[in-house]
Amino acid sequence: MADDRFDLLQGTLGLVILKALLGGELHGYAIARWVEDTTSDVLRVEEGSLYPALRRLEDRGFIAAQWGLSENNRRARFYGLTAAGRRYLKAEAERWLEFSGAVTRVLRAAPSLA
Amino acid sequence: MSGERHEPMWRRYRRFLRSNIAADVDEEIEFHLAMRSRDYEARGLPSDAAAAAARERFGDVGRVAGWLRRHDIERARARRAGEIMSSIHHNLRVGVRALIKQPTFTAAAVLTLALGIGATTAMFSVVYGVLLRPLPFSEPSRLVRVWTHWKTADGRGAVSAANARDWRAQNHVFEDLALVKNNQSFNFTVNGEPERLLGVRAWASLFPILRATPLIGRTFTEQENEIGRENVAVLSYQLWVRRFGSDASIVGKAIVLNGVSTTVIGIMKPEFGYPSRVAELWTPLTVTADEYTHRTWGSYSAVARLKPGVTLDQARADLRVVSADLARQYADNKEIGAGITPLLEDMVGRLEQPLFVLLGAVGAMLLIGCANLTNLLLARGLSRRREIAVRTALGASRGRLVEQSITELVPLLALGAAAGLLTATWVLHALVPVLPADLPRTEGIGISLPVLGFTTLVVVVIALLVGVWPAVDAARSGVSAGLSELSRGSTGARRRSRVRDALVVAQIAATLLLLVGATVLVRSFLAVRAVSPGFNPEGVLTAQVAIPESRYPSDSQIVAFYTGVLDRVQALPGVTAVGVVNRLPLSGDDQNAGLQIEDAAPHTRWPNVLTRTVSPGYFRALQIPMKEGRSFTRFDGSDAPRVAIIDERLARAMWPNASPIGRRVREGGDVWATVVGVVGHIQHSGLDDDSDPQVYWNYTQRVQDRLALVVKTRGNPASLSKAVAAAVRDVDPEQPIYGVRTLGAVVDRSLGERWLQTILLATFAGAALLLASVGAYGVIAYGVGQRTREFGVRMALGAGRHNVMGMVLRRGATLFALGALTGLVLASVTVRVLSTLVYGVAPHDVTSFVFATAVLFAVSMVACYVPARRASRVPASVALRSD
Repeated sequence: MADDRFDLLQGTLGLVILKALLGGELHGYAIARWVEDTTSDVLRVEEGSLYPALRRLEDRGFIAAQWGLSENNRRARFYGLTAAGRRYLKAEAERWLEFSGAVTRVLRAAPSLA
Repeated sequence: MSGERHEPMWRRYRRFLRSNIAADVDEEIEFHLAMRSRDYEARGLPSDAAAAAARERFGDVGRVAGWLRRHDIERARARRAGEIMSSIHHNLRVGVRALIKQPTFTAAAVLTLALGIGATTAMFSVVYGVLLRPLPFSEPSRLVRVWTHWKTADGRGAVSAANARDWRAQNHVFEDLALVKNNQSFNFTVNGEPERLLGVRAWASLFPILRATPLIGRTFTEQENEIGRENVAVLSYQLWVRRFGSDASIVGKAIVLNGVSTTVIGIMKPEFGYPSRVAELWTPLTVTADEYTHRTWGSYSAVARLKPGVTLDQARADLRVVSADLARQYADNKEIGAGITPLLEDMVGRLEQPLFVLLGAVGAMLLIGCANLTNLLLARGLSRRREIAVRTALGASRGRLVEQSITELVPLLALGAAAGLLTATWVLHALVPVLPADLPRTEGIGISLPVLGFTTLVVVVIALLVGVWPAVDAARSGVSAGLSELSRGSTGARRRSRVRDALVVAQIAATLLLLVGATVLVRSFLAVRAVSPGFNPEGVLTAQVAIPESRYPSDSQIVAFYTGVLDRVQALPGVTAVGVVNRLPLSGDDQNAGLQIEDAAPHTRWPNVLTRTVSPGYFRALQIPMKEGRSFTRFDGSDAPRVAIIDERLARAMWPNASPIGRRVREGGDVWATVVGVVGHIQHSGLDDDSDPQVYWNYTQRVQDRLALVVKTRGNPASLSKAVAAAVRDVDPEQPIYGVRTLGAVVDRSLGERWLQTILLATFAGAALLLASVGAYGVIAYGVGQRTREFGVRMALGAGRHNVMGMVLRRGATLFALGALTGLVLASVTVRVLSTLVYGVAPHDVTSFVFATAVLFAVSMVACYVPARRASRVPASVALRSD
């Protein structure tokens, strides 16, 4: 199974979560769904590690949690970006893009793989 | 923080940490699983399959939930701790700032605290060091003193070697028992300068009983308690350092003690001392075979260690059986039982009552000071009403305000505690050197860890006593008063003034209690001072001489020595009379015996008498009056018929209607002596302790090797001490004298404990009086301030100054009357604790009660008069404007 999907690399889950929250406050399940939808299910969030990751981001002050009501009127914990989280996301995203761009350029360089 | 509810902090805290966190974690995961399975259902899965799939997708729910719970609890705890720390930090800063802003308040409060905490700590140091501190031996609670219980007499009797040997052999409750002879003199000469060392002779079992091992060498063995092998000594660490420069090679070498070559076999550890640190060496106690046949002889004490698990009652029961056996076996033992007392109690038991009375007194003084502090804080709370009202309006809970008030108190208390400890150190510094010389265990008095613990406890109690009420009051008025409350006569103000009044009443009551106690003790002290000792101590120098048996083996040599000394001292310029006596009056030393009277009816009980060996000059030196007959003369020598002088107490008791001259008396077993004279009775045990009758023997006929010189001079007796020492050395260059002091000093010393007790209680009572009058002044002055407008109106309407003053004074008098009444009731109940401490006055001494009440009344009225006068001088215009 799962040969056509990728588990997230160590450390990138946090970045993905922060990006998910850039659009506004979300609860845990919504974050998982956002990732699946955005990547057409290619990236799969390991749900068991989603919540510990949220706690770590909270501890580092990048996100803040608050109880609220979900779309179906249930009590749910919503997470939102803090200013520090926004700054961190911006910096990390740039680093990541630069890094992946470089890797991409390497892989595309002659001689071609095909 | 939003939504702060009024609930105790601990519950808030628990909710924060436990149930809600777990529930929140569960809820978050439940929500996730529910959403996922709803999505699966939307895709057509049946609901139970959808739920299962959701769980599988999630992974190990239990493990994740556990991790989250642990994480969240940890985080909440850290957060809460941070919050508490920062709130404490803030309140402390507020407290410190308040102290700096109100220097008068701070000074008054810190001074009160320093005085109260300092005195309490110092007093407790004494109580702990003397009474409570465990004896410096392993498992000290198993150590007991064993004493002779005479069925015909009170008190703890000395032990005979014969009985001690049998008790040791026949009991089942002691690990071991040791016979000890304390206060033994050892003459020790180094570099031609003779010194008298105080030591102990003891059975070898003493050391194992005390669990004492030597630093160097060994302690003595049972064999060394046998005659002929006893010339060994164990030195104290202090003596070893002082006289032998810590030279370890002294062990195994011989030194000369009492003129006999003695081998040093061991050095004890620095902390060892038995019976106290005063003892400097220990040598084997030997008992002759002859002595073992006399079961009523001997002036030893015995110490034993109970076997593990044996109680005092079991030990007493066992010794009862043993003594009953001995009583059947030996006629002499018919009246003898064995008493057992814990060693510590034996040493300090008699001090328990006076020390705890003083501790109680100082505690009462502290409470009086606390009442003042509470008043000050209440007043300060009033001036902060606005601030508190604002805080309340902004949602601070009452619990928070109380918490805040107490935290703000911390800097004040810390300052007070530090000042108190300094005061205590200073007080002890001044007090310990003047403590009576016979007070045991004073070396342990100091600011030790247990004392610090006690002080901490005292500070916490103070914090609760003085902090809680003002805090609650502030919080309450904060809630009710609102921002505009400044009106007088509101319920809050009335309640507060009731509390202040109650505090003053309590202060007056406690002060009266102390004053009554102090007055009773002072009157008792004066009564003791007024007792005539029966002799005249003026101009008399005393010095102790103990000549060793080894150098003076025969009676005639001893007599020759003392006769030589008497002749030489008599020849010194300024000396009008000189004598010797075996026991100085009021020195605490004693020697007594039962006196047998010839021709008395059979079965007459032998009166217990103090036996004195004196030279005829003794009566002249102390001016003890000759009532009848003659004194000793040089014709009453060792070969002459035995003569005796008795005191008039004995004469009256035994021969109420006849002259005792010519009658014959003797100490049990000794030769008959003819009474040749009658002298006045003297106070020997204490001015406050009437002594048994006294019998005097001539020093040439009833010879003793340890005697005290008494030298009556025309000039200053103290200036004679060198000449007396020289006169003794002139007779024997190796013979030291010791305990050189004037007889006046001996008398004063005998009053030392009583004097100290009196002066301390009087000081505490004086301080209490001062504190209480300040308290009363403060409250009355505050009341006057509150009623300034009213007084103005009254005076504007024609009331005279005297009416206004009368009103104020009447209020003061009412408070005083309530307090005095309470105090008198309290005092009449509690002065009973003084009953064993007083002499010549009853504890319920009416004069003392009246005097103390009058003093307190006068002082309170002065304290009220000042504000009353101020009230009557306020111009009406000012009073009416005042707000």
